[in-house]
Amino acid sequence: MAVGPAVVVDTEEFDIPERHVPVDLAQAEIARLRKAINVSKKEIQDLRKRTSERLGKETASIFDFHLGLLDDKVLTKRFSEMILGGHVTAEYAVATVLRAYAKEFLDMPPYLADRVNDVYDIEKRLLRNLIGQRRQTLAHLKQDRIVLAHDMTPSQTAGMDREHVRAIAIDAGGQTSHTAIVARALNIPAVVGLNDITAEANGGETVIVDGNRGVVIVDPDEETLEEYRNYAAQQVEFIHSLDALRDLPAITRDGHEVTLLGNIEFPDEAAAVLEKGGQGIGLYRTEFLYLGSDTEPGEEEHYRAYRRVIEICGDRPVVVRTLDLGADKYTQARSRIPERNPMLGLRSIRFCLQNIPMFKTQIRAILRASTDGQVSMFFPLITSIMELRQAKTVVRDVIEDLEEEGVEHRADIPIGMMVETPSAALQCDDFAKEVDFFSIGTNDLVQYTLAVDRGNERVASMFTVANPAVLRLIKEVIRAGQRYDVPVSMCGEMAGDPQFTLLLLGMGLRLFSCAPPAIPEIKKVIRSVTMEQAMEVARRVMSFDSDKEIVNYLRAEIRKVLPKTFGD
Amino acid sequence: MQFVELANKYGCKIEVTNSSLTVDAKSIMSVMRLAATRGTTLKIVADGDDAQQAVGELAKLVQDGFGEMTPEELEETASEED
Repeated sequence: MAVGPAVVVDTEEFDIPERHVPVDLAQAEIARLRKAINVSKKEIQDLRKRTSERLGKETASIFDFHLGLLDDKVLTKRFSEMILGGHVTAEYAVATVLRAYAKEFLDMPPYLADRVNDVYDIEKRLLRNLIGQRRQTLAHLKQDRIVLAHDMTPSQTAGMDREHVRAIAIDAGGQTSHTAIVARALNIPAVVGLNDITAEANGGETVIVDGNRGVVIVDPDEETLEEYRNYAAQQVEFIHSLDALRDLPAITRDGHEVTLLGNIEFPDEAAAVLEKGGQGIGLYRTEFLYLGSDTEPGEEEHYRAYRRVIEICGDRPVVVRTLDLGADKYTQARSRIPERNPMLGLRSIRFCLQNIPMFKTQIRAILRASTDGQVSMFFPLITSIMELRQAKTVVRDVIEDLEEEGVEHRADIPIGMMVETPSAALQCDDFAKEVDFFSIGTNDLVQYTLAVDRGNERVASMFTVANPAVLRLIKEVIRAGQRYDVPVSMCGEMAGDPQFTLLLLGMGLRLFSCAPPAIPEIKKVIRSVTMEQAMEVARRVMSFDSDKEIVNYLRAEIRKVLPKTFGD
Repeated sequence: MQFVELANKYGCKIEVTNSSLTVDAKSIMSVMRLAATRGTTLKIVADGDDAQQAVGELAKLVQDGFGEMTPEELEETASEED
């Protein structure tokens, strides 16, 4: 959790709320606007040039009108007057003035009314550039700030000033789950799905963000502030008390050893995993290579990132997951027709198998990078045996290519798969014969088993890994692993939630991979219990028929082990 | 928006008027507000050193078939007040 002054970032896709700026900052707003106008002009000039080359001068001439608008002195004067007169942000002035014009044009004869779309276009461009400036300032803050944003992509989150952004609070829910993951990776408290938190602040107000409890308070009273400061101090104390565990093994009181690994998104996070006492990387998500820039990463970019992780980890395991994109802006922007149901659409391994050259680029880089170290790789979202075989064929093809080219690589890399769909879990006996390891992903497994989108605030409360059906699937996978001598790890959120540690141990899980900050706490639980205790917990849990019973029981059990846990 | 573009080439102040509204001829947004289409009567008034030439050229542009206005319906006035 964090307390600090707010900085607010709007989005050009929605209404810009009326925000006021201090009188002495009005001139700065005008300067921002001037800059945004210049950048927009440059963009349109480029666009005109490119359009002219591709489609001819005639078509490109529509951009002359856009440029004319940006050069319109009457218009820019109205912006300035509004900023100076009303002490409002440049964003609000642009939106208000242009919308007033647009409204007037709508009632005009068709030829002129059509120009309304151009006015909206310019409005969007200006707002995007103005908001873009604000986002850029988030990369170089001079003081600590709490960021309140309407929306934020994972790459925008990743690009923020790690030192000064103390917390983030986001209006949007649905597509921001990756953002929450990045924030957690950066160790920045984040709360998403707040609907209209940005409307409650102008910037500068004191804000409390409690990531554990999902609470955001704008402009709290002194009493509340005091309460939260005490709470924060306790939290820090608890985290420090866990530091002592760093160099101790993850072993139960009766001597059962567990491997505790970390999940990472960025290469440099590997160091954080080791620092927290993790024994290696159990899940290296590679999506951020793609989300971080507008262009598809090349083989060298992949290679450099993987080498970095492998170098940090030395002889410790590094498990690389192949691209798990889809159902998000990246793939949607690239598909010709937006998918009606992207969660059940062309995502993850399916997207890779339909974009073979892209997939091969990544696999080449993985195989080339893993000539030393202890690297393995696995495929996400496998639902059928044919899909697994197809993906493995691609790997074989890449190996052949590399051999022919005489490029150094590792041909016998262990290949695993995520078990994160009910079909994969139910058929895991068959899969076990064709993979070197399983890794259970709990978020998708819950989503597809319970048919719940946890980004949808109206049904999100139904999203729970403690559902008996989900737990039975997980148990099934662990058992199949034991039968076929295929290692099973869990890299989903469940693995990093101390409430479930006893249960998972009792079910037979011996490989946990979680976000770096969760490692010490999970280790503490493991070191505090016996396997006998864990098996008893698992036996009891499997006899319950509702998630409520299960959660209540597990909560009571973990209290006995860890009297002071946070997050509840 | 050739009309506005041309108007911007002159240093003088230029205003355009329809039946109810007088606006700055150098501003696209303002000229659009006139909602001038075929059949609209416009009056161009310029004030400054090159005013005479400005009004002449702007009127010519309209007469040469720019936009949706017909030349017959265009009334032009040039004044040099200083």
